[in-house]
Amino acid sequence: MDIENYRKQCLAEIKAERRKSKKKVRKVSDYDFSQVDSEEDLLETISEMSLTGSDAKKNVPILLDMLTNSSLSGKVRMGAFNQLRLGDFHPVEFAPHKPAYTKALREIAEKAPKELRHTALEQLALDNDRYAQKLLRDGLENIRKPLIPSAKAVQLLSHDDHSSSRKIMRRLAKKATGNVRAEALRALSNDKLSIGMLEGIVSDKKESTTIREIAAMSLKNASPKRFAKAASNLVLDGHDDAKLRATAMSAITHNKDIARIVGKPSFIKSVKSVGSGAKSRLLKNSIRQFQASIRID
Amino acid sequence: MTSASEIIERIPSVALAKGGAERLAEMLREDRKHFRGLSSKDAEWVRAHLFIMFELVEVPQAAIEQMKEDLRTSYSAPILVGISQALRSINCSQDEWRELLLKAQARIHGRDEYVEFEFSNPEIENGTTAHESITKTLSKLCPARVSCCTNSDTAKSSLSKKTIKLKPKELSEVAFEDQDSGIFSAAEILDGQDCLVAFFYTRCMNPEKCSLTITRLADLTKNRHETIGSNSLSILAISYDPDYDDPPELKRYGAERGFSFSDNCKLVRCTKGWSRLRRILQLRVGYGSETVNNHARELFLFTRKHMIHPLLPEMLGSLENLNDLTA
Repeated sequence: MDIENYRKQCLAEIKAERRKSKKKVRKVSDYDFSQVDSEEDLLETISEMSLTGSDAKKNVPILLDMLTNSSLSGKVRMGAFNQLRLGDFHPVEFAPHKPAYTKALREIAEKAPKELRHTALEQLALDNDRYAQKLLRDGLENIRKPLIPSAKAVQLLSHDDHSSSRKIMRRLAKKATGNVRAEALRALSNDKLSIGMLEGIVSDKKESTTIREIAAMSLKNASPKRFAKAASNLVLDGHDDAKLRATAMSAITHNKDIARIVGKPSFIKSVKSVGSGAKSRLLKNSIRQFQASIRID
Repeated sequence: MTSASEIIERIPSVALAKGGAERLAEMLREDRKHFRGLSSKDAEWVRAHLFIMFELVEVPQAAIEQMKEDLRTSYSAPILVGISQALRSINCSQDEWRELLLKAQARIHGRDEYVEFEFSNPEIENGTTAHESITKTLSKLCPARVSCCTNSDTAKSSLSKKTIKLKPKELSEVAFEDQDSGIFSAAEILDGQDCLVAFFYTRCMNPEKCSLTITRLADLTKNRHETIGSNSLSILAISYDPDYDDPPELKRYGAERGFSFSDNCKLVRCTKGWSRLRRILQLRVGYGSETVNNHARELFLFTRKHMIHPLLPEMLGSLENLNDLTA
């Protein structure tokens, strides 16, 4: 971890705590809801708070206040959040409230309980919010403590081609493990610079089938031509994983452009031979489908 | 790679040094090194801080033009807050700025946010939205016709600005691939020909920039004879993102906008000599780690006399202006 960045992070956290302590924390009774005797009543009341028309001006600030109110239960705050998210269905009417909503989401993205925090970051990331993208990147680069699981952070960052996260994805695709690596490989599906790496993973028998499949699908998007070559090699390799070979065969069958690249008579003949000798039902079925498709064409 | 915050930290010292205002204006250029590797949002964030600094120092003409262009196209609340605050330090007239500010205010509706700049200068207003900031600036515009800047929105003045003389064989090392995978050298279509050239990329998220440019060019591909009295003008749109914008992408993007493809109306990517072309035309495009992070709208006229005239991108919106170009 970089010392200077850590120092800045600590200072920012101290500033945020000071701001928070100045803010008056409201209790449920302060919101002036009538006939609210239980949390369930409160959640029902929240779900009936309209975000349109003349009520919006009164309701939205209340919902935003509840969203950021740490004295309320996570369930109630989530209820307020879910109600506010309906604003997406009324973009014109909700537009004047968007700045305050974004501000509230940024506040809870760092401080709130897990479910709220994750949902806030997700919402912000889908809006390509700069603040959220930095939090997610910093978490992946160990500049700060991650706010959400790394695999999810990778997924959210990959929504925006302009988030400049590609270098992080490439590093994670090589070095990470498990779900993080899987998501990073998915995120590289239109990265021309990763074609070589993806090819390498697809053909590496030491890699798990799942990882090889994900790499293959990303390679298919990044370079259909090189995927065609890798997939045809896989299909014909009698020593390779049958499930993977079946997946490669299906990918060729269901993509006309790729089928056109590989569908030479020699390949078709070799596939027939593979099909007749294959023990795996999955592989046999996928080969049958390929053969049926070329007969139709 | 320098972070956005590290760049922003240096801005005040640049502004306060001798010639600082001009240096700040220069730093606004999208192709400058300090933007390299930044995300689009971080690049916008840095530019917003450059703009807001003009509230404290004098505003050079280059910055005025850039403010107008960003008011025409930007969807960034920080940038619009920066510009609208900077304008309060200039004696600007309603005539010149009112329409631009109102359009920007309408555009940011639904995407606005509270902006907290990283500067702690008390003269800079923090915690405001673009809508609020623009409203305040509109109220401070001079009612009288006090012009703070020359009106450069004429075809003639744009034609005379920074014209480039193409050197012999300068384009010989530059090659293009078009939407039908046709490969040809840039010299074939650009050297010694009348050709209108625009730049774009298919992943541009700003509908006021690339999408609108290609849509306007598409109209021109159908109406060249009616609008400019000539079918001999070629039309070329070159991608800023040659790695991603392959022929199928180019074709799809153009077709969706009604672009009428032909031998002299093409969407292309550069397959060789892209750095050289960017240098010749001094293209205003910056790159993050995967794609363009920011770019200007850029339009050029290449003529059969081997001259390259940079044009105001707004000219595409007023097609009759193009009659002057081929006269």
